[in-house]
Amino acid sequence: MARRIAAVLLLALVVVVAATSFVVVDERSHAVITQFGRPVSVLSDAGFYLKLPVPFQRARLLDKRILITNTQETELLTADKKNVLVSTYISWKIADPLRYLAALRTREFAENRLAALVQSELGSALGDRPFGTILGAGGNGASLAELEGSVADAVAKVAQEDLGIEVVSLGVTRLIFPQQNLDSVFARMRAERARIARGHRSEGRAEAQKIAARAERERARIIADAEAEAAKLRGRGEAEAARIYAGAYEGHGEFYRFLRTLEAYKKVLNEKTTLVLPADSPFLDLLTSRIPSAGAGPRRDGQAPERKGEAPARAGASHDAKPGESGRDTGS
Amino acid sequence: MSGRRRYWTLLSGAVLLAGYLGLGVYNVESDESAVAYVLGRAVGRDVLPGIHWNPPWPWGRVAVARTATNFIMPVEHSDPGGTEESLWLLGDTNVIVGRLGIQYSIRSLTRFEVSHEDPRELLRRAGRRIVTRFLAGENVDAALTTRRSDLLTAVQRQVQSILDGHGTGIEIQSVNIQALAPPEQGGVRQAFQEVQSALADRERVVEEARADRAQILAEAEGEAEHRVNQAEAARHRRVEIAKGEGERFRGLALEHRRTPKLTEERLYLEAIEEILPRMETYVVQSGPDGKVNLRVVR
Repeated sequence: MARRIAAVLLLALVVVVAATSFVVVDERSHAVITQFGRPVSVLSDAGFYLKLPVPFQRARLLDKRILITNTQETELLTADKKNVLVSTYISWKIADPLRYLAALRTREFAENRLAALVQSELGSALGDRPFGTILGAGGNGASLAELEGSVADAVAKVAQEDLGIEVVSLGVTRLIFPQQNLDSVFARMRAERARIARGHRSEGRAEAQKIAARAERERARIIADAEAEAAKLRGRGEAEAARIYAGAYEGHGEFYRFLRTLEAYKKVLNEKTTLVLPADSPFLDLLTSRIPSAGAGPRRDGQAPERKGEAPARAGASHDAKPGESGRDTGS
Repeated sequence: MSGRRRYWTLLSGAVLLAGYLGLGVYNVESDESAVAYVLGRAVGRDVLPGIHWNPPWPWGRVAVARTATNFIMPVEHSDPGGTEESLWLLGDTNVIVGRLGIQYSIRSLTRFEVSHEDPRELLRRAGRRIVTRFLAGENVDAALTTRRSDLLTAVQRQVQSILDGHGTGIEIQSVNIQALAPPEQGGVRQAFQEVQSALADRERVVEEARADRAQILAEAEGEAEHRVNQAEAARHRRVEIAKGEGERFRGLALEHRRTPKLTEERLYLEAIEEILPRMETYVVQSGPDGKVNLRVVR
């Protein structure tokens, strides 16, 4: 029975020894072999390795991949005392497993160390730069990239020498004002937009006024052109009419004057005109001389027919009662 | 008896062995790929879909993941004040809300597995980094308008280059902007919309002025035409009247030539007949000298 127990114990021992006397190193890992706690070798290539069983040698697996650590959002001051919230990521890998283990032992320690390192480098890098140079419109973010680069270099140097860590990349993932400063940023943006809006509106009004003025000018020009044209037409009408009249009156000058004078009388002499006619006016010739019973004086009947065919103007001239020739009529 | 026991022992041993080896069978779906490791080394890199076998633990290990799908990685922040807006700082110290999406796929699962502990986290961080960096070099007007597509190409190119620098095996398919706008907070977006409406007002005012101008010009043209037409009509009338009068005069003149005295007398009397009734007419006896004493009339 005792032999049986001894055999089982031996078997168990063999199994334990067999199971711990090798190590399979993944492509993603380093294996550090420690002998009584003291590192003796590093297995960085993937594969199957033999080692002494457990009490003598232990294998510690470390990540060979690139690791990423995020720093917390921190409020930092720039050279011109502006507060900014900054957060970063740093990706790194264990370059020297022995140094890494000696300095840090665990991943948690490593991350805390790195984060602290980044924060302090970032703080001093920002403290050296005025805020305006970190940003830079039109610079394609080159100044921010330069800041990242300088922090990464400083961190990489310490990490490499003291921690066995290689920094792969470091980047600023957040850059913003703290909330209390944001409010004034919003106010400034609002004011700026209001100014731009006002600018647009007044530009519109100015443009509209310009258009209106131009329209008025064009209108005036069109009307003036039309008036010129109209005047020309009227002038042509006058000229044509004059030519026609001239053509018609040609050779009848005397008669035209006579006719035109009559026309002028018709127009000139109106209700306001008082006409005094002498009773012996040739115009009244018939009126006064043809009525035999009229007691105005003796009239010789024989005279009247004699004057019949004559023009009234001439009739008056031969009247016996009248010593001289008088005008046809006298206007007042 | 002992033979029978040996038979059972062998049989159960074989079943156990088969079961153990059967653990190494794995399946890769059509949108997946796999990496098989034997003794820690990746052997069949990026195994194709189908049923495969790889030595089971502890000799081998298999990683299967969906790779043919396009994944989306959002690029955004949470606000320091706790609101929902994802704020970014611009080069002109203005602030903008931005949310982007990076569409990516895993081009090489082996590299994805081996290179980086969390390639997706790296992608998220690299996305924020590049957007932060890009926007830190822009002013607000450019960022909201002309530079949007440049932002997309910058993110795609530069994030891809970071990922490649880490050997992650991730390939960015495309980047898209889900939101890029002025912040809602503090009434900023409203102020931006106010600028838009001011622009619209400006357009409208100018359009109205143009319409007014067109109307004024049309009316002026109309009036011009009217005036010219009136003048033309006046000219025509003048000429026609001249012709008519000329015609009438010619007729009279002909008659006058035939019987000058008679015609003149007739015309004279006709005129007098027309004129006298209008006028106040006094007939007085002329004095002996043939003159009229106008006192009488008074």
